[in-house]
Amino acid sequence: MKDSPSGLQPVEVSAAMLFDRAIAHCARRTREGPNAVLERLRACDPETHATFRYALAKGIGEYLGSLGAAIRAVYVYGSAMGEASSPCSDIDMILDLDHDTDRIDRLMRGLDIALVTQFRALFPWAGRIRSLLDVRIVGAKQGKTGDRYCGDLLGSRTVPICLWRGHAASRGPRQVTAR
Amino acid sequence: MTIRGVTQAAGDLADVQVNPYEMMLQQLDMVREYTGIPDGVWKILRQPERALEVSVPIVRDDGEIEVFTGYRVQYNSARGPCKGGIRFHPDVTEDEVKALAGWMTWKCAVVNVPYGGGKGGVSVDPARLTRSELERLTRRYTAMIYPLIGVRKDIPAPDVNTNAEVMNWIVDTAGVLGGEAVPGIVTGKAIEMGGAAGRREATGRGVMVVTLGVLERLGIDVGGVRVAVQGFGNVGSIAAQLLAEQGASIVGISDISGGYHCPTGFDIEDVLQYVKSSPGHLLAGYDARGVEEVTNGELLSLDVDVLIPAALEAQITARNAADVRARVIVEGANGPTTPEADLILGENGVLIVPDILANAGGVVCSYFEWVQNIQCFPWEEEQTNQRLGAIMVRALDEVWALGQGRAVSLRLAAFILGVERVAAAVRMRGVFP
Repeated sequence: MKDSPSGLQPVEVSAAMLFDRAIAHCARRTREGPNAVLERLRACDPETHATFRYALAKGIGEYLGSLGAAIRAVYVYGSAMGEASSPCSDIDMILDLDHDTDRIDRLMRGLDIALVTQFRALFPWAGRIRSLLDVRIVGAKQGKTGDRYCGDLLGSRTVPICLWRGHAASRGPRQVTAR
Repeated sequence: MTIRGVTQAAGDLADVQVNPYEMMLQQLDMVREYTGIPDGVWKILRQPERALEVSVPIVRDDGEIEVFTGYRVQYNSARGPCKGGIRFHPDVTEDEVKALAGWMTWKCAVVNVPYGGGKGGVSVDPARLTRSELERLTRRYTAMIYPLIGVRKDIPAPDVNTNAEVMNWIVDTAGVLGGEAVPGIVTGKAIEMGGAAGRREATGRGVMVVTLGVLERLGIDVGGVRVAVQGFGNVGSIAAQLLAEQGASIVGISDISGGYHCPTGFDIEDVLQYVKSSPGHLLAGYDARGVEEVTNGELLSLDVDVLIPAALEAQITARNAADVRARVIVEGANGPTTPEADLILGENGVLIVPDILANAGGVVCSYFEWVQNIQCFPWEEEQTNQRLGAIMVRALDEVWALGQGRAVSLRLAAFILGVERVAAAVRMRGVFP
């Protein structure tokens, strides 16, 4: 858009780049070429989709970490971590914030739009997918009381995996422990 | 084949564009979490009231017929007739127009002018048209959207690649079609056609007013405050001039021809005189004692109190946000700060006055133009300036209070204020029948 208001600005990170890296990750895992991975994704192979989503989440975690602000750690959990991931599954993530800010929310929503747009362009059957990211943001308040934070972790079907952790988080009192 | 090559071959991913309408809805959904708006009202807010797509055939100068596609969207009229510009650009799509119409709805509500939101556009590259072709396109487009627009229905205005001359053609066409004079059917007209005195300066004046208001709240005396202004067009130059008159020291200015730094403060009147007489009305070649050339990037990272990006979108990005040394950013342009940069700036304690508030002086003055047209009673420029200042001060007061009360950024506070006002009007009106 020309002269877009800031509320409508797409995020700067290239969704295509994140997808390329995720496909490359899958290709290394399966020792196939990227084209073969793409074909498996198009054929809705659940295992490839799960791997793809995990790799995508990892890329997102690294991207968020590179911004160097507010975020203590990034976790992924849920179906993206298992073989049961369907081609329409979203990626469950937890962002552990150093302190409460509304800016992260806006950023993640923009990123989700960019990823969904890319996903639809790549997979024609994905036209009905509205969201690829299900992000739980855990601020300082939740971290102290443990309410939403622990609820997210203990309520999830799979153990959250830390994708990225800042230096402050590694020194901090809150650690995610696997059950 | 590289990995990137695979995805490009798979779906031309390089050409994939983020859907702006979905982006607007996401933005709206985020606001919802901070409000108690009922489900039913929310359903109404998430949909435009009307979206019209029209074919716009014109006869080119060589006799060939070409057909363009145009749109007019009325997003919400609960608070008043719809208001929003018309843009001529090859990238115009229905979803873009819907998104921008929604954004106009919230923007008008933030400054509390009695308008809903609308937007229009034609998918055309106006640079490919001659002046007479552009006039025919404008007139035919006006005829096609004529059932929707009206003084008390929907009032267009200039936007990307449209100007006062295009508005004059719209007024004339609507007058011929309706058989009566309707100067209030658009705003942004030439003064001779019923335009408002002070319209050209209105956005820059609004930027000045909110800048002074924010400085006051931060306990900073405007006298000697150091300001950098990116963009020296209608918005940036006027904001710089008015802030200098208030005692601020403008130490950085730039436009597309380059940037300049003067640590002791520019003589803004001298700069304005230079620009007025320079080729292309640009800063290029400006020279005075103590002035040094800087790049646009260097301008953004000058050691200043206030930075006013008043040029293009996406100027402050993740790449340069950490270099910004200003305490306050006042967004004179639309969308100068990307979401990533917004995050980084927030973490660094930089206060951002969002575009939806900071550059709303233009739409406020459009409202004044419309009022004058309806009353057939033009105001003196002084009246316009005085009332514009009062509205902008009130809007800043309300956004600031909401931001403090709910512990959110001014950007989010402005959106919450706008959306809640529209929601209140929707709820009070009820649902017909």
